Amino acid sequence: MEGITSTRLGEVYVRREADIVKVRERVRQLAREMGFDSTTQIKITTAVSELTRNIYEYAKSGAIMLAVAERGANSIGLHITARDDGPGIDEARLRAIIRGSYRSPSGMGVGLTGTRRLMDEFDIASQPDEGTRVTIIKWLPPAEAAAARERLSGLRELVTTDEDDSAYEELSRQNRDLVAVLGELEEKREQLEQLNRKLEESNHELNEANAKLRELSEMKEEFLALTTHDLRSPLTVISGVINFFTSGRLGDLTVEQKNMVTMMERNTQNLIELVNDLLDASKLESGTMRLEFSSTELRVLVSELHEGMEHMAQEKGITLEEKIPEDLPPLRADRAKLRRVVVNLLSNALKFTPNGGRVEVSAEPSGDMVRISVKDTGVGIQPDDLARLFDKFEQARSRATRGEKGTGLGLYITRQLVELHGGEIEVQSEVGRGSTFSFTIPVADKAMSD
Amino acid sequence: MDGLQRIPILKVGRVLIVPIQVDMDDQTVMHLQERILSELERTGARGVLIDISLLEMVDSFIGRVLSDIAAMARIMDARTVVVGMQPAVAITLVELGLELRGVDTVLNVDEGIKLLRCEFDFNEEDEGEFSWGELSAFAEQINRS
Repeated sequence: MEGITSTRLGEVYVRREADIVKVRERVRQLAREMGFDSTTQIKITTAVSELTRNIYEYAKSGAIMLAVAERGANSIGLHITARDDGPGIDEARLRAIIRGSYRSPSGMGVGLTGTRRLMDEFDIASQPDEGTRVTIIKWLPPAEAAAARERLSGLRELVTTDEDDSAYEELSRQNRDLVAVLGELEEKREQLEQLNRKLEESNHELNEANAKLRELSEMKEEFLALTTHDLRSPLTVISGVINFFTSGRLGDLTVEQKNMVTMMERNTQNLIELVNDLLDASKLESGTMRLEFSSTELRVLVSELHEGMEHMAQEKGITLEEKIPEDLPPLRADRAKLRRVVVNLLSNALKFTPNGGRVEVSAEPSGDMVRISVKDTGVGIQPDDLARLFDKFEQARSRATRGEKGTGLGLYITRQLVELHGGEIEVQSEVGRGSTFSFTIPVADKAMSD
Repeated sequence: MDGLQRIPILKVGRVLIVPIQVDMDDQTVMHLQERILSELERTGARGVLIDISLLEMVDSFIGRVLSDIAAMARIMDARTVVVGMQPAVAITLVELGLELRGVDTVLNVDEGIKLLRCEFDFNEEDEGEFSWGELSAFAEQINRS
């Protein structure tokens, strides 16, 4: 619309159905104030009503902009623009509307075409998805123009955007903010959920791996128990055969043969010990080790061992001493297992004590227990190794013990056996000065000793 | 929110009189349509007289609803007359290209009652407590208000 200048008066928002009535009122009032006759007032109001209804119906929200239009010196009119961000109108329909031949399937089919007829100027611009903008102008009769011009300044007050709208605007803005915050929260929640799912997955994997490890461990124990059993039988046979040789029942052996048979015997004995250790360890591991408690005299037990140990001590020139009081109460112990414990500790002490050293076995009552100690003047144990000393396969790796034979199972089994008796084992050691292993075993109760 | 504006529906004899005195929002218009129909059913009225003399604007929506009311009332065996349309509204309706299809329009309430009376050929005796004179007096009252 060329040659027309407009002075904007204000806007009325269209968001609710009630706004249609509000727009009609405002426009009617404005038209009256501008000096339109009552018929024209009704025409303008009706036209705006049609436009406003279109906004509400097709776009849900939009605005009616009111302005005063001027063209040249003598023309002054009411300029109304209805705009929305709705779905828009496609080109073919738009052309039909402009030609005046369009018939809407809804309503009475007169909305836009009727509006065009009611007004002096009509312009429509619309793109699909970009909303619609309809501009209409009604000119005042030239006789009224001058008077209207004088009233112009007062018109603006009629259309100021009112409190209602700004409150509504504020609410909408807050609402939008809230929706945005909600959206963010939702996003965070989703992220958390995702993280949770991942954690659950890895948890599941860990559980599976754990179960697999346990299974493997069980398989290993089983394998160990089985093979150890299978190893022991042939060893027993070999050991028996060697006995035949050494007993002389197969005739006298030459010195050379005797040396070899002795070597065989020693190695076979080592192997049997190793297999026994493994068997015990696997029994302890699986919890199938059973103890048979009886009232046991430590003095008797140690003196029985003495002969074998003394032999070994003499070979290395080690002094082996016993300091067990005569009135020591009997112990509640599995005789064979306790013997095993003492033998383990004593043979360790002899093994790690250099020639000319000293090993001492002593015992003393300690409450309901008896404390038994094996003290040597051996190489001692590095402080770092002390903590792991009683672990499985953990032979102390200090330089001094390197080269010594051992499975690393001895102390592990020893500790397990002591604990099965209800006692405790501990070690004190100083590198180069010697070690003291001491353990406790409960005293036998009255009923047992009777 | 906006409450519904109440448009009174008055039953005088066998005619429902609906004086519309305010600019109605769409919801009120739709609600009015429903109420007229349910009143027709409830009272068995034979005529509906809608007074729009105070209505300053009839747009395509209100026009369509008026047409709809007339069509629906006819199915319910009642005749609808719209009375008192302002000349400016009539001009606008014509320019807008809106025909109030199926709606009889007359100048004022008196004419409307006369029309309804002719239509049904009401007999004073049949009406019982009702008299056309009463209705005419009532109509005048409305017109004055």
